[in-house]
Formats: sequence, C-alpha cells, structure tokens
Amino acid sequence: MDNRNGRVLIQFQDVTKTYKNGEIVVMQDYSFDFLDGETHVICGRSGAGKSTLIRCINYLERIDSGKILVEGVEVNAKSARSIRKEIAMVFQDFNLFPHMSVLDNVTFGPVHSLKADRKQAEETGKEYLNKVGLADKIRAYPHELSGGQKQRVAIARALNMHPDMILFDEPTSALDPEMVGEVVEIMKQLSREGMSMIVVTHEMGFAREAAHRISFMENGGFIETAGPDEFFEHPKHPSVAKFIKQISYDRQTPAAAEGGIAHV
Amino acid sequence: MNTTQFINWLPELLQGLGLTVGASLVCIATSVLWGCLIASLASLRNPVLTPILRSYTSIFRNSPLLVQLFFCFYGLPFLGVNLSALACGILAVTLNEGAFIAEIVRGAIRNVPKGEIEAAYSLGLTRPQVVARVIFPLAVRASVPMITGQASIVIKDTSLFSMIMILDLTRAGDRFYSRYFSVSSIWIVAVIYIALFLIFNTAGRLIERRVKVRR
Repeated sequence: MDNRNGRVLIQFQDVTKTYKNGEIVVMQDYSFDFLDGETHVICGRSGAGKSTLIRCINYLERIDSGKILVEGVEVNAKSARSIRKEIAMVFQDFNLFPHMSVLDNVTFGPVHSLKADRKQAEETGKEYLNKVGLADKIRAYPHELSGGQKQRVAIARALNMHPDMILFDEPTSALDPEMVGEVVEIMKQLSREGMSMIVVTHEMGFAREAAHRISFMENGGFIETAGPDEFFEHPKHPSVAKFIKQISYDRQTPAAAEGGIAHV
Repeated sequence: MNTTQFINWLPELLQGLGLTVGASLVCIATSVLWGCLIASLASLRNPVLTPILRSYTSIFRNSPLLVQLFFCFYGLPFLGVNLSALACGILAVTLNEGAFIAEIVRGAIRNVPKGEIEAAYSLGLTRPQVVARVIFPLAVRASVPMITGQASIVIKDTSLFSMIMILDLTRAGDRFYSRYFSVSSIWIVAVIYIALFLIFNTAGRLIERRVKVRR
C-alpha cells in the first residue's frame, strides 16, 4: 500500500559528516529527500554510516556541514528537542529504562517531554502495548522480557509519542533469530498503516515486502535508491548487485541463489 | 570490672551508645543526600560549578576527618559561626563522607549505559530531566552496595566525636578507663561497634536487594 503523498518530511542538503577529524567520511555532500508516509529502508555494509545518518536526523549526532531539515526546520542544538518530540527512534539494543515498568517506559516520553496528562498517556500507552501484543506485560520490568518483547515495548514507547516519523536503527540486529519475526511483523503493520519510517536494517525480507524505496549506502551517500522489485531484481550498481548476491547466498538454498535473485 | 562498676557506668554507656547510633543515622542520611546532590550537580557539566565541586571533593577526601572536625569545632567560631559540638561533628562527617559518596555516585553516573541516556534524549527530554529521571536513579541504584559500605565507615567516623567533648560510645569507654584504670570497657565498646556494623550492613544488604537494577 502506498501512503506517500509526495510531501518531503526530511531533507538532507549537502550534508558532510566525518569522524576522527575527517579521517572517516560517513556522508560527503549528501543530499536526499525522505517522504511523508514512506517506508524507506537503508541497507549497506557495516560501517557504511547508515546508523550515523539517521542519528543525525534527531541530533544524536552532529553534522560537519550542510543542512538537515525536518518539516522545514533545520536540525541544530536549538531545534533538537522539538524535533525529537516529532521523530521517535527505536534502537538496536532496545534501550528501555530498566528501573521502570513496561507501562512507565511507554508513558515516560509523553508525560515528561510532551507534558501529556498521565492518565491519558497510560490509556494510549496500553492501546499501543496491546497493538504490539504485550497487553499482559504492562506491570512487568524490562529484565523479565525476551529481546523480542523488549523491542516491541520500545516500538510502543515510540508510538506513544504520536510521532510524525519513526527512525529504526537496526531494530532486529540484537535479536535471537526466532524473535526477529514478531518485531518485523509489527513494523510491516506500521508501514501498511502509513507511518513514515526510515529503517536501517539487514532484514531483506522486510525491505522486499514493506519498503517503498530501498537505498544502498556506500562511500558517503546512497549509491542506489529504488523500489524493492527494481532494487532486488535489477540493481544498477555493481556493489549493490554483489551485496544482493551475497545475502542471497547467505540466506537461501544454493538452488535459489544460483538464479541470482534474492528471494528473501 | 566488677558489677558495681559496671552498673555505675551503664548510664554513660547507654547514653554514648544512643548518641553514636543517632548521630550515625543522621550522618548517613545527610552524607548520602549531600553526596548525591554534589554528584548530580557536577554531572550537569556547568563550566563554573563543576570545577568548584571537583575541588571540594578532592580537598575533603584528601584531608583527615579529624582535621576537618577540628576546623568545624575550633575554626568556625572565628568566622562567626557558632554551632554546638554535635552540629560541628555532623557537619564535618557530612562534608567528608559526602565527598566520598559524591565520587561513588559520579563513577556510577559515568557507567549508566549510553543507550539508555540516548533513549531519554530521543524522547525530547531536557538535560536536567534526563539527569533527574534516568541517569541519577540508575546511578544511585547501582552505587547502593558501595554507599552502604561507606555508611558503615560513618559509624566509625563518629568515634572522633569523642575528641570534641561529645559523650559518644568511644568516650563512654574512655571515661570508664580514666575512672577505674581498666581497659575492659574498651573491649565492650569495640564489640558494640562491631555489632552495630553488622546490623547496618544487614540493613544495607536488604536495601540493596530491593533497589538493584536488573538488566
């Protein structure tokens, strides 16, 4: 389902970001528009800077030069807080607050950041926990949950901020294989419902099924951006073709891999 | 020590014991609060405040408590501050132990997982909110074992009160000695200190179990 309306939500304008005094270049004069209602998957080899890219959007990382605009507002120290209230994030390591119950984790942002009424935040929080299938865990503490459950709480925590977009930073990479599915299913559902999402992931099944566009990041920017069919069937850039071939070898039976097509 | 001597001494011993226990409880409370306050103020990374707090903890951790006690008792009146001996004692111990506890909590603050702090920021919280609601509660919980250890040192610290004319447990033992020239009272006092230590330690472990953060 395509919920895109063509409105630009996040705009990178000639962004350069380096580490270690320019030794490591993450983004080099990088420009790109992320759209409203879009599920945009970013993939690439580890170390390509995918996580850094999305962490610049909510100012967890600073850029060296250029501009990032979120709904027209430039991301900087001053605007960071108001942008974070609109752009939620789901982390690889869940990062739930270990001293708070599941429900408190989910209401924490709305109550203290958005100054929402606690009762109401609990009400909506319970709805979102129900949505991610954890209605029976509201009184539990993070250490009592499995990895998949923790990540689902983290998604409910993001949703309860009523964000305009959710950034997913490798949301399934820290999960045991049998728990990946439960998290991916929820992300697919959110995508269907029109939530704007940028998803850094190696989960190509999700990319193929849910993404509107997939970008491959390398050498300081996106070297290829395409819809899933195009991306997987006819990658233009040799690096992307090689990457797709590799993941299909990793994940598929040799017979399927021989066809050169990733049925992942 | 015979029975008559002991019975004559008992009121002093009980008074001293009461003071040691009471002053220890007060000092533990004030030291913990003071130490936590210093540590959380320092973690705000204010360019003026933080260096001042650093110097404070460094000075009070690296000079003898007895000197600090004498300063409060003999020195403060010259600055126009007149406190009772007991208030001086509590002040000195609080400043001293608070500095140690501040360092403990500061270390624990540094060890709060970065991801949990980032998660709080990503929800749009301000730095003071993140400190008060995430960093600080997690750091204090993590430092409870070391704080309870420090708290049992506080009990021993209060024995220095005997140097500024306060009748605490130590002084009660000393009084018996100077009256009858018998050291048996010192043994009794030592055993009571150890018993107090064991009681406080057990209490500390119970608190520890309650507030421990499991990940």
